[in-house]
Amino acid sequence: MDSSPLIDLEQLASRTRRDTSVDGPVLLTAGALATCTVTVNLMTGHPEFRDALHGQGSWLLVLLLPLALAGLWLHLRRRESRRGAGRQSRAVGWAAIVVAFAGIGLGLTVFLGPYPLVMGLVVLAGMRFRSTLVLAWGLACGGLGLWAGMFQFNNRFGLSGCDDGLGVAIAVATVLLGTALTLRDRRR
Amino acid sequence: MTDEGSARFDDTVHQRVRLGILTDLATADRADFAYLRESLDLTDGNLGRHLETLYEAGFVEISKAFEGRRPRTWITITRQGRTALAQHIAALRQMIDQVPEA
Repeated sequence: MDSSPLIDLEQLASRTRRDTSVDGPVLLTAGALATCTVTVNLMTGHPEFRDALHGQGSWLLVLLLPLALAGLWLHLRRRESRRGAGRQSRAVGWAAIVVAFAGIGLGLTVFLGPYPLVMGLVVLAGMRFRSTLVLAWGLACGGLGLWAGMFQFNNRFGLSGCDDGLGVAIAVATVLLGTALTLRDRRR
Repeated sequence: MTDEGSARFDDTVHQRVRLGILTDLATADRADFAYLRESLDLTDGNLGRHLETLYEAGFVEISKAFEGRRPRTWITITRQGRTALAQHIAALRQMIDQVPEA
């Protein structure tokens, strides 16, 4: 269906969507959190049982998560004030408060690896901010991360090397995608 | 435009500029006066008049705040505004679909 008034509206909405897009900051934050977690897990694990998805990093994640959300809230708030459009910071601020209070419960995710938690929040962001890219990325990486984390925790399938690689790859890919989207956003 | 078709259009929403304002706000959730003015290429007076119409219809909320010494006007779309916009776009789509292709 091609029609001028609807095309005009779609173009207008598309420009506003670009101005208020949170894809880059959300994925960059998620990637940074995942990278911290897997790095600490790898550094603090037993030398013979290196595990990117389980270990001290998961506990650190529970501490870092509300801080990262607070940082994201601040960034979005400043950006909204500068650009004069958007109100995504409000949802992120509430998420930071809820996550801070639910910290102990979230600590249980140590058994599942960091991805169900980090990518779960990415999925929520994708749904709340209506971003197909963020939603799809969260679902795909969350699913893969959960799969790898659970298999490794069960320790019966001998996928350790593959799981570690997967854990690191998801973290690095998320940082790269987040950085690329943030840079694209700044160039506009 | 048939009478039946035009009857489904809300005149407050149907006006081109107001349709643009509601579309911008439905996408951004909230925008300030300057953003809407730039985005829709309007003058202050023109935008102000259209915002007043939308405010009187209950489609937007307007709040004024000071940031430092600078006054700033934020405009937010209401639930009623979102519903009116969605209904209008649906009616527009339906009407376009009914037009036989040349």
